[in-house]
Amino acid sequence: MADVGLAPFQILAAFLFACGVACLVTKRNAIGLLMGVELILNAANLNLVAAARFVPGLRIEGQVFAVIVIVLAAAEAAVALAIFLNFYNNHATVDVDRANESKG
Amino acid sequence: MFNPFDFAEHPGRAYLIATLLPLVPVILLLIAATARNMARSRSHTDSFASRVYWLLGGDRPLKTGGYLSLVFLLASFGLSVWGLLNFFEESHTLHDQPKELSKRWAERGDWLRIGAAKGIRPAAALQTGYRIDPLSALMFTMVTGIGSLIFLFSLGYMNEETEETVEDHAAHTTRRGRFGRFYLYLSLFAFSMLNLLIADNLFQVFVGWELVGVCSFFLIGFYYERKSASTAANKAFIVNRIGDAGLLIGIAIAFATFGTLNFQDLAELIDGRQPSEMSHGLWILMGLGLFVGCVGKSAQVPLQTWLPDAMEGPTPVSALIHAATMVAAGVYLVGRCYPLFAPEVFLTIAYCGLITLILSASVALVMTDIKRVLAFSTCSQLGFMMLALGVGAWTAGLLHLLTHAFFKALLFLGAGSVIRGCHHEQDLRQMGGLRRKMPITAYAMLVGVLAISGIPFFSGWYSKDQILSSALGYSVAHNRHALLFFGPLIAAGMTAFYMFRLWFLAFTGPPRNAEVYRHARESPFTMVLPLIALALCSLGIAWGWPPWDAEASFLGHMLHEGEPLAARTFAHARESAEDHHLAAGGLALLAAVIGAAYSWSLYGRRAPTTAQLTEPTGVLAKRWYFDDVYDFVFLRGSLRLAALAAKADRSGPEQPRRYTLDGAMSGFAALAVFGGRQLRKIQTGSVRQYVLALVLTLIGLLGMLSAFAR
Amino acid sequence: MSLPVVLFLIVAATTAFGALGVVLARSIVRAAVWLLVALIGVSVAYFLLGAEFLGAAQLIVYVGGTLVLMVFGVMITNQGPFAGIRTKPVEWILGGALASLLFAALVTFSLRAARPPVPEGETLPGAGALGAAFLGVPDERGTAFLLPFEIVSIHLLVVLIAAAYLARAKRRTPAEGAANG
Repeated sequence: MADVGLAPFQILAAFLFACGVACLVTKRNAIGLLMGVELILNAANLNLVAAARFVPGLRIEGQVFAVIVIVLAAAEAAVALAIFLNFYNNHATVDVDRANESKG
Repeated sequence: MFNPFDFAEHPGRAYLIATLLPLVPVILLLIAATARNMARSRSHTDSFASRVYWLLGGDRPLKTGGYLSLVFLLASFGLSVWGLLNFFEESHTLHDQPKELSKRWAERGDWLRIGAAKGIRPAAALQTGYRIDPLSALMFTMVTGIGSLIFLFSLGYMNEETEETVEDHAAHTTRRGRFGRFYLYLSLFAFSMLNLLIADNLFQVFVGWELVGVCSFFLIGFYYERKSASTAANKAFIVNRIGDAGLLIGIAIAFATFGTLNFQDLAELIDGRQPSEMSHGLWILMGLGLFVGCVGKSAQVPLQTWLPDAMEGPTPVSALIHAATMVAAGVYLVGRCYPLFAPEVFLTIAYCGLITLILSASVALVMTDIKRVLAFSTCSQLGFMMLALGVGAWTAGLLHLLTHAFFKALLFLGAGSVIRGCHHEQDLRQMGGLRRKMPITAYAMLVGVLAISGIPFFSGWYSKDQILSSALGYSVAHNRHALLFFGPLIAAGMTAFYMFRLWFLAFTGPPRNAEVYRHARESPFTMVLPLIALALCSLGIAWGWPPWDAEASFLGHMLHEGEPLAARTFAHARESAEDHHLAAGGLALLAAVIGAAYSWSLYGRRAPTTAQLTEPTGVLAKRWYFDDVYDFVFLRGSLRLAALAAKADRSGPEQPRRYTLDGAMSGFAALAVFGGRQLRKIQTGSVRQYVLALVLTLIGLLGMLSAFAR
Repeated sequence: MSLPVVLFLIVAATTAFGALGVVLARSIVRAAVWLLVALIGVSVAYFLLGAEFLGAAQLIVYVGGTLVLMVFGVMITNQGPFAGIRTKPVEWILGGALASLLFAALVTFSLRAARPPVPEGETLPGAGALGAAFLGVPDERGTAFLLPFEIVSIHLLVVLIAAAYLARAKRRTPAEGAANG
């Protein structure tokens, strides 16, 4: 794997990140937003693991934080879905454009 | 490790501790007062609180606070005497090693560092430190000594403040006694004054300066139920602020130019010659700024109006603060800053002193309130000191400061004793014949009168004689300034006149008010003892061998050693002063004797007629109209200006105009409301717009990062 | 072109295609399927990098857990007027422009960043070393991650309770009903 290097992985991660952001901006479905967030988190994780592989000082740290991010992402997904279900129960929709009750 | 008790290595630290000692009763009294007030409100319901309350004196203030303050100040006095003797000895043994001497008697350290960018200029720092030299050592001992005596005197004088209710006849109210508070202020004053004296830099002096100012304010307004007292306190404070503004300007110029405020450093940088760092105009401005501060504190013309009004405070306060010590701080600072002044500034100082001493002495001729006479006399004597410093007689001026402190404290305490004996009668016209009722007070005061008049072999004579001979020498050397000799000569005659007038009116002749006379009695032991001590000091503080030579005395000798090199610029005047010493002394004595004799012929030989005792009128009684002019120009002027501004601001009673100050303020408010309304619209609550903003920010940050990363 | 490079290209292409599919899919169910492709691609990339434990964890947690959860969510909420939730063309253009701008910025930045030397012949520490680090056993450099591990554990517990609370069926208790009316 040494001949691939860090940069291609970073570019792949950047692409995933950009897709995640595009998801966040364009999707109106709440679960679509959640998918965008998952993409973004995966992009970050990919960066971390690639750094663990190619940067000598991050051998263990990169992996450790990747594990932590996976765990937190799972937790975040669970809570977000719970909130969406609650919202759906109350409003019968998951359109985030209608969820603007907290505006000033 | 800093060991403040390391007297063997740093004997100067004795002064440091002596300065901090008066702060102990301040803290203790504050704690006790807080506990007492808290316990008082709860003492009806809470048995513990009521026990605390009764322990702290209950409804009657305890005298413990006074004793406590006295003990600590006495300890401070003891330390300073020890320090003075040691310093005197060491200044002889280490005479040719000034470095070693200043290492043992001075220390300093950075207090606040004012960071400049590295490499551009070394960061400046405000320093704290102390430096003992002959002047500060003598002043320190004088302040603690007189302070202790006045603390003792106050134990008797302020006795009625320990009552549960005090009836204030002047304000027509009854109130609780405030004994502890009095000593709290006095101790705080002692600390501030001592801090001012040992300070080795202008900034620390300024701190002490403001602290003594605020203590003076508290103490003038001690009977704050009286309108006159609270007004006088305000007046003193505000007039002093004007002087302090000048002082701050001077300090700021010094700091901006030299980056240090340490007296020693500044003296080496300037030392009587124009420094290369500043223009001549700036040099003069710095000196004038510092001097304006001294003018305010030492009640010189044109800022002298506060001192006579300051007599509204209790009499021991007048003695300690407004005669012996605090008002002398201005003279002290001029003496301290001697190397920093330009020649033009010295001339200003001399003429300022001249005007003050003439005007104040002339007003004192007609005053009928015993304390007012003394107040104007104080102004006048401070004028003598300023004049002496202005003509280069550093030693003479500061010697007069020291001797004056003793006899003026004596005179004020004597006046306090008379006032208390006569049940708060201050009008000289109501007294008379009191010599028979209070002999000790009368003869102690006579010593003070003789000293201030400059009768030979009393302490005042030594210093006044030196001042007059220096003034004569200066005016001989510079013919244009002949007034600088004749002014003080006439004032010396006037001094003798009004002081003897005071004494004759109060103590001799038939009693003019039988009621007052019948109730008059000698004061208790605690008040008489300080009088006797001060009378002895006023007599002999400046004695030496041979007795007719002022510089032979311990004081003169020590001051002479501490004289700054800048005084040598007046060498020409000094030589002629030496030559005309006898003439000046003779003329001064003649003036004093004529004044005293004229006073005796008017008031002492026979009982003064009622015509002589009517309410004085004319320009003197109006104090040369200073108060009236200030009232008209500044007070009315600013009130009128304010009324005009208020009128311009409003068209109706509640209608602010649009383009005036009020309108501008309303405009700011309207702008804030409008901005808030607009900002509110950004908060849409839509998740996707937030994400949009987030992403845009991220892109912006990344762009900035890549643009500036290299 | 060596084998690792070829493998990386294949995996990267699949992952990127999957991610693009998530963005472009009209139906939310299809987006979920494309997300599945992208996540599997990422886990294969982990395997390629030599982080076998992480790859396995990615497969189990994301593909097996989170994604199934999401599909459940889609199924529960996928009723009613879904046709109304459509993205406008303006938003497509805006979103696309933003995303490409971001991508460009990230790529230039990561290419400009200093590239550390690639250590030869070293593999990543496996699950054993990872577990030791989490349990607070310091490695040769003295690093250990017991505290982050504890924090994450507590966080997870809190989140579980919160999720259970939020998603619970709301049943009116008799007392509440009486109070309300």
